[in-house]
Order: sequence, then C-alpha cells, then structure tokens
Amino acid sequence: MTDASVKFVPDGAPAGEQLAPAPTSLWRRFIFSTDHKVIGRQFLWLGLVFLAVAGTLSMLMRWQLSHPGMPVPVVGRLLFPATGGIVSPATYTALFTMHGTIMIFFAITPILIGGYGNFCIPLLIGARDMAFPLLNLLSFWTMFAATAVLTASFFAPLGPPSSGWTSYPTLSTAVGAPGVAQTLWVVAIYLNGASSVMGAVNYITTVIRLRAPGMTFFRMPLTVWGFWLASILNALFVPVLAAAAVLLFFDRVLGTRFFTAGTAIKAGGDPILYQHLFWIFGHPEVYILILPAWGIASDLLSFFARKPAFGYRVNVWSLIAIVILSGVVYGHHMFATGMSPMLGESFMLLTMIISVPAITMGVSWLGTVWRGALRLTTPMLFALGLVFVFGAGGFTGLFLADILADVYLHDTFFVVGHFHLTMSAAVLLGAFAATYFWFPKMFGRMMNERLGQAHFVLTLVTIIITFGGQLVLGYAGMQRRLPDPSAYAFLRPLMPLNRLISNAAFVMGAAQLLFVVNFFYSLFWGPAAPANPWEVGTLEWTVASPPPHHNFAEIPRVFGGPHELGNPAVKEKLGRDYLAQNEEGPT
Amino acid sequence: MIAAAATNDGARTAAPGASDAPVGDALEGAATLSVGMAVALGAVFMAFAAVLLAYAIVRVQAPGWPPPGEAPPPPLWPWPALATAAALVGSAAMGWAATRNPGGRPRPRLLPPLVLATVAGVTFMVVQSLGWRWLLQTGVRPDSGLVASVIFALTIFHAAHAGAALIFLAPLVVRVGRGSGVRRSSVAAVASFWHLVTVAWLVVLVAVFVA
Repeated sequence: MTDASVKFVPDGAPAGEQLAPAPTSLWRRFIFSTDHKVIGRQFLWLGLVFLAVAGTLSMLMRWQLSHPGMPVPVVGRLLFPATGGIVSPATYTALFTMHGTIMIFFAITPILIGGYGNFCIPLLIGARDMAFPLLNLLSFWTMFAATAVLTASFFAPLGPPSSGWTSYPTLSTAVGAPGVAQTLWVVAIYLNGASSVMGAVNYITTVIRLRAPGMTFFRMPLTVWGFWLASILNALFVPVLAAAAVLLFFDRVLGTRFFTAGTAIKAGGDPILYQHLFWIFGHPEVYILILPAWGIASDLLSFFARKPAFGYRVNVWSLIAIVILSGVVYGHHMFATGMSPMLGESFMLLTMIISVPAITMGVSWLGTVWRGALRLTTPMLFALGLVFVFGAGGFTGLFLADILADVYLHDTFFVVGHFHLTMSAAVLLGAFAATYFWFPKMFGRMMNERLGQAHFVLTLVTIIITFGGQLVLGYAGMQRRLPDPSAYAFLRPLMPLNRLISNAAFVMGAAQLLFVVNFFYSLFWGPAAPANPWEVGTLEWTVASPPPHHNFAEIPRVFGGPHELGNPAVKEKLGRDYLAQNEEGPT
Repeated sequence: MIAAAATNDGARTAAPGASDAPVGDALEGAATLSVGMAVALGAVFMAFAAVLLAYAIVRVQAPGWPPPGEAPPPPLWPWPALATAAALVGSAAMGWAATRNPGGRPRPRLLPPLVLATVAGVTFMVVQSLGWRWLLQTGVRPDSGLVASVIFALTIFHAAHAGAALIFLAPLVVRVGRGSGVRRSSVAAVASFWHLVTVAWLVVLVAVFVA
C-alpha cells in the first residue's frame, strides 16, 4: 500500500504535472494492470464465468427437484458417473452449497462491486484512477487466488464442500465435514474477504479524497453512493466473517474447540457462536450485494425518465439509514436457534424498521418515473424490473421478520424464494442493467436492443414464476435443502408446481444465452458507441467510449448534480434536454 | 414536479468540494494515504473484535476458567513478558521514526529507528514461535482444551498481523537503506499499523494471560 502511494500521481495535479504514460506491454496492459478500467473488466469476466457455473449448478438442482431420481439428461453421465447420472442426496447438498457460495462471493460480488465499482467510481466522480492502484491490482489477484482455491475444492477427495453457503458447525467441523474440501472452502472465503476489504479501502478512500472539484457528496450519482456505502459495510463486517473463517480453520486444522460443543468430561465451545459471527457479517452482506444495484437503478430510472431523481437527498438518507440498521438486525437469521424472546423481539422490531427507509426509497423511485418521458431502453427495463422484483421480495421479508411466522417458514422454500427475489434476482437485474448501460463505455460498442429486450422479458417472467413459485411451495410446507420432495406423501401434491418452477428455471437459464450471444456479438461486431449514447450528464459520458488511459485529459470542474434532465431553459438554449455535470449551463 | 433547474444542490455554482483545495501536492497524497490507512485499521480492528468476542462467549459459557481438568494459561514470565517488551520497543521505534522528517537526507535520520523496529518485530515473532514450541513441549496442544485453544488461536491470529506489519515495513527499510527517499506519510501509515498491532497484543495479553 505504501508502495502504491509513492508511485501514484495524485489526481488533479497542477498543470505541467507528469502523468505516467499508458503501459504498452501486453502483460502490464491486460494482466497486471493498475488501471481501474482494466481491473473492472477483469472482475467482470471472472464474475460472469462463475455466474455461468453457479447457474448451471442450479439447473441440476431444479432437475432433481422436478424429476427426482431420474438421470440428468445430456450431461448427467459425464458429471455423476458413479450414480449413472442421478443427483444423489450428497451431490444435491454439494450443489446447493456451491451454488450459494459461488453466486454470493464469486459472481455477484465480482460483477457488481469488483467490476462496476472499479469501472464506475473514478469515472463518475471525475478521478483519473483509484486512490491506491497497486492495492487494486492486488485485490483482483487475491480474488483470483480465492476462485482457484474454491475451484480446487470441487475436486477434493471425499467430495466438494457440502455444509451450505453458511457452513454452520457442526456440519463444517472436522467431524461433520472430513476431507480437505471444507478447509479449502474456508481458505477461499478468507481470500475472497481479503480481496473485498482491499477493494473497500480503495473505494472509500477514493470517494472521500479524489472527487473532482465541485463534486460534493450530494452531487455524486446514486450509483457512487451505493458503491461507497456498500464498501463501508464491507470494510466493517467482512473482517468478522474472516475472523469466523480463521477460527473455523483453526478448529479444523489445529483441533481448537471454538465451535465444538462441550461434553460432560471436556469443556467446549459453542456451535451457535459461529452463527452469531456469520450473521453479524451475513446480514450486512445482503445489503453489500443490493446497495450497488439500488444505486444503479436509482440513477437509471432518472436518466431514462428524463427527469431529475425524485427526492435525491431522501434517497441518499434512506440508503444511509439502511446501512446503519443493517448492522443491528442480524439476529432475525437466528430466531430458530432458541434465543431469548426479549432479544428476538428487539431484532424483530429493528428488522421491521428497515422497511421504513426501504419504502421511502421505493416511493422516490416511483416519483422519479411518475409522468416522466420514459425511454424504455434495455437498461431502463432492467431497472424497472429490479423495482418490481425487489418490491415483491421485500414484502415477503416482513413475514420472515416476524418471529411467529418465521418459526414456521424458516426451514421452508419460502426463505429460498424471499432471498432469491431480493438478493439474487433483484441484484442480478441490477447487474444486467449496469451491463447494458455501461457496455458502450466499457467496450466502445453498443449492445443489441432487440436481443436485450427479449432477454429482459424472458428473464423477468421466469423470475416471477420460479421464485414466486418457491414462496408458494414454502408456504405449503416444503422444506429447504430437501433432495427429493416426492419422498413425502404430504409434499407429493406439490410436484406439478415443482415441475412448473423447474421448467421456468430452465427457460431462465436458456434466456441467459441471449445475453451471452448479445455480449460477445456486440463485443466484436456491435456498432461503435458514441461518447454519450444515452444522452445523460454524468462525468463518464463526457469522455470518449472507451475512456482514454487516464480518463480525463483535464480534471473536470463540476457545477451540478447528476440528474440534470428535462430542464426547459437548457432545452431552449442548447437544444437538448440534459446538462452534463461539468457544464455551467445557461444563465 | 417540474424539472426546471431542479438541481440536487441548489444553484449551479462550483461548491467548494473536499478536493477543491490545491491538489497534487505532497500534503494531499499524505491525507489520502491516511484515510486509506484509517479504513484498513478499522477493518483489522473489527477482525480482532470478532475474535475477542468469540473468546468472551466461549469463556462465559465455560464451567469455570480454566475449565475443570485444564491447565491455567502459562505465567507472564518469560514468554508473554518478553513478547510485550518486543512489541513495545517496536512500536516506540516506529513512533520515533514517524517524528523524524525524512525530507532531504533521510538515511542517517531514519535508518536507526527503522532498523530498531525491524529487530524488535523479528524478535517478537521469534519469541512467539519459541512460546508455541515451549507449550507443545510441555504437552499443551491446540486441541488440549479450551484454554489452549484460546492461547494458540489468539496468539497465532495476532502474530499473522505482526507479520503483516513487518511486510509493510520492509519496503521502507530497503528504500532508506539504499538512500532513496520515503514519504513522511508512508512512515506514519506503517507506524499506525504497528501501533494497532501493539495495542491488540496488549489486549490479548490482558485477556488471555492475565485475566
């Protein structure tokens, strides 16, 4: 870190200051680059690859749930030769463990926070790079090491990690999970956390120190607010997960007894202790995942409604309130552990209070779109989809915040439906919105709108059927983590619904191929992107697509907020309905 | 609902932002580094807090401390006392280095405190290693019981951060040794990390070996 600061040429250096020239060797340009735009793309590629892996795992799970005990078509014999292509209960457990782990830590985190956080933050605040470019490089390669370790765990003797993405003891102790796989999982999570904290140090510092002159906090795009607040949560709470991982590692490798219950003759630790540590991190984590998506959606709704964001400041304060509350609600994940009713009630109340800033934000989204001159571009469609899906998912959270309802619903698919709607479907819709929106800036080419719209419609409809259906399943009593629902008489009537959900999920999976085709086709053959294809005023659109090595030839001076849209005075003087943040405007 | 002039910040004037001050000079870079270091220290603090919380919960729930049938933690002399001395010397040396402005000819002024800190840091690591070896030789292993679990886990977790402190210091020592300049802010940042690691050691010392 110290080294990076020595080499770094600070932003906005006075005239005559020497910027380091762009590296010319392939090695420094594309592999070990310190350019935030390159690192952002590296994170994006890595995240997309693992998104495909984790998505494939979920397809296998859906096959087993709708066709229990039948060999998986096409790939079954290749993947599970020992059982003749059938997903065994042990395999099913490994599948949901790896699906959750990869989606949360190795797909969503790299795509949104690593990819778009890196790419957007300096460009949107008018900086030439991150505050610590070398640390940024280190952050990516630490993440890369984490993915390598996690990939290795797939092939460990005795099978892949199988104690859930939460890896609760005693399932994850040396007794519950013998073999090296679970140890590799712990190491991968630790490295992943180290990478996230390095990123957080960079993002927080960059936003505090490197904003362009005039870019006050309340002139920052909401996207930057989302990333910045998520980074604060990352810096504070990922270390708690890292500590839990270290103690679990010691328990597994050295034989310490933190998470092993005591016996009559030997004192021991407490398995529930791990759950506390995990959820102290885990609840902020869900906001770490959704905050960037919220920020992006807030900006996009304004951009494509051609109106300033309704209640920008209210929106920002709602985000801040949610960030603060997110640190004190984690106990609602543990209602079923038999905590003191007094404590549970406090957690219940605090959890429900989160709906106040959340609905405030929802209202400002609706206010932004209300009577706007909507441009239903693909990024706008995905942003609107996020609002709808998150709204539906958020309301189902109220059921789970309530202790009495939670005790019934906790071990059912209702929870699966709820968290998929909120922190996976909504977040991924945000990630797709970001991709369709910033692709031209990242790669200098436009994506195909028609394919994008088809991708959106298919994805949204199948999301509603899949995860809405899971809510119904859970309400009807079907347990989570159950490899074969047809094994129980009382669940057999739910099989048609399970089939419907699986078919919807398969269509969802197939629909993502439209995105893959669109992405690669546009990457090579898409029409060249102009500097400002969406006609919006944030700083990244004031430079070429893709931006030059140091982003800004001259550090911009900022005169206004990010959503200067639809101003009649501007339209009259300039003949367009938007004003860039670095334009003084007609006076 | 009319969009006219609905800026987020009232009038469209260049409000004095945080970075409106003259930028690009050394002071500016120093402030950036100290913000980054503050965030990093906050993260390390949270990790230590979580580990100590785990210890507290384990200890509160145990049937007495040390639990029946387990040996008490080792005495303060020689192991923890020597480690504490090394940590304090290292931190003091880094504090000394941070007060010596490395502008101009840094080598003669900065080299003694940085070398002293390195020696103290290495000594600390050696003392910890000898401490663990001594525990193992006396039959106390990480899986011996709760007290042993806590001693090994907390001292290893702490030593990992002490090792990181040494790694952060290394480039400074090399630069100063070669006679090339280092930024005052870099020395201050590394020193602040050393202080945090020393404070963390004192907390571990009190929590594990004294209390």
